[in-house]
Amino acid sequence: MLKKIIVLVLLVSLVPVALTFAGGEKEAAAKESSNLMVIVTPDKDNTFFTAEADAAKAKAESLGYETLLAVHGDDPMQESDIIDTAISSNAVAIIIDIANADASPNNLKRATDAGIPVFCMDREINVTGIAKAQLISNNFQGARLGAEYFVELMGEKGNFVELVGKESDTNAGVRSQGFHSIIDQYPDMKMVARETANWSQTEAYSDIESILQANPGINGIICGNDTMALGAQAAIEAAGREDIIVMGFDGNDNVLQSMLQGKIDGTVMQPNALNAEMAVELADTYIKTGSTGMDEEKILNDCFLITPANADQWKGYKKIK
Amino acid sequence: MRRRIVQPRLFFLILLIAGLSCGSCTIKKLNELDQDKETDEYSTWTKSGKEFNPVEYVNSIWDEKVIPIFMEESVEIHAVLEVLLQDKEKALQEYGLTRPSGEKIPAFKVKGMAEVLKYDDSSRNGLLVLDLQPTDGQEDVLLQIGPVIRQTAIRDSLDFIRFTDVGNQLQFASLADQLNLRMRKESVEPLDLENISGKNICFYGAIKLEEDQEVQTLKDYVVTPVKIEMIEAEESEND
Repeated sequence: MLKKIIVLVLLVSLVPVALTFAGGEKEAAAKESSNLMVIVTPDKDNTFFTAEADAAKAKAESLGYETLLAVHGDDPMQESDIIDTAISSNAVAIIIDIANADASPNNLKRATDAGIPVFCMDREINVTGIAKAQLISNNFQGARLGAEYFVELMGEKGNFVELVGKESDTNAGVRSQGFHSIIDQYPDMKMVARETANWSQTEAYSDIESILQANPGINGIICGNDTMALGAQAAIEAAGREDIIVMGFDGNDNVLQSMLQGKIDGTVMQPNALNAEMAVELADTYIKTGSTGMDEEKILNDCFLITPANADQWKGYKKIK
Repeated sequence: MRRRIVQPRLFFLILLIAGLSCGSCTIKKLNELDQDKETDEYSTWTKSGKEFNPVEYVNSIWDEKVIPIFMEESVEIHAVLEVLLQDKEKALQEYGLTRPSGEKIPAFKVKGMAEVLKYDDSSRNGLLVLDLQPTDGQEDVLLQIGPVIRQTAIRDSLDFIRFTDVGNQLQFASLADQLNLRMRKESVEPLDLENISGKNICFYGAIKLEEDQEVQTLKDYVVTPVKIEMIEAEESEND
């Protein structure tokens, strides 16, 4: 029995040392061998997110990093799995457009606890101190900018429909609140329908198709993103109602084209390529110096209003003129 | 051989100790991070997770900070416009808001005296059309008095207000809205708008430009007032 206890004590005192030593070696080896930036975005079918992923990837590769692209589909569980993969791959940094403002911080904290710095782009988390930097698209400012233009085009009056994005996505709510913080100040603007079209072009099409049958007296449609605006525009064209004002959000190239053809009336350009590139640059600075060199964790980048007059100045979410 | 001696319970104990030692490393790291952070009087809003109350906050800063800062730092609008209409970049360098990092923001605090040519209420974004002193009958400046106040110029002209301090973009925007509402309550509601044409005013206010915005027409540099005061005509003072 005594012998057993001695062995136990010895083991207890030795094993953590051995573990720590092994851990240290592993960490050092990982730092030498891994050069991997894991880039996480919500969706691989939406050009907004593919442009974001492409911008981050191109910047990371130009700085000499290997990249791994992953999508979480706005699902915190999938995001969690991706974080695990990043940890097991000894990534040097994670560049992420998060799944959900409430659920994602816990996922991200696991990465930072494992020693992997996290840099957020586009969407923000409410908690500070987890991400090394957050490059945020000011969706609320963008929504207000778009709503002001929408109200102006409507002559401050008329019946309108709002198409809302996927409820689980924080930005769907943020944009909707942004729209209303402006439009609701105009008592002659009447919202006749508000539908969730889940960011989807086909859902937007069928929503507007049926709304138009029930409410032919519609003057405008304000959409939480550009894919829904494209669906709405197709539906009003099919109904022969090209007098209806359509406002999008994102700065999708197809919407810019539609605007140049005199169809969709306006959109809001998100600085998402800029956010992605800045996130990677700050990650690179952090990896090399141990600091991002910025005063603040959250850097809010404003959106730009796009009208038919400046729609030709942008391509791939970047200013080209 | 050794592994066979070790009981499952012991493994649990080892894992627990190993876990604790890893845990303590992490805690130290976070503490260090917290120490690195600049602490200021409002940082607890986000760190404590306490909900930000824009009304209370604006009440706490309006008379004590906002008004004094504008009274002290505003530049004659003539001087700002003279440069701004010629060379936006030069105006930014000379009169723009300077961040501690040295970065210049296209937000300007301005003041001036003017005759009100008219109150344009054709839009809910009502405007006072001003002819700056010395008057020449020309429309020089638009002062937005609402009821709808567009954008966030007051907030954006105040350097002590930081996005990070208020938690998220909605709170940051509601803070701007509250500043605009407070301004309307203090400076616009007391005005007799029906009879304001032809009267003289003194104003303090903010101009905020977008990054790539051109500055050509009056609509491009609408002033958001912070303080508007009627100037009594000399005759009435003598009465």
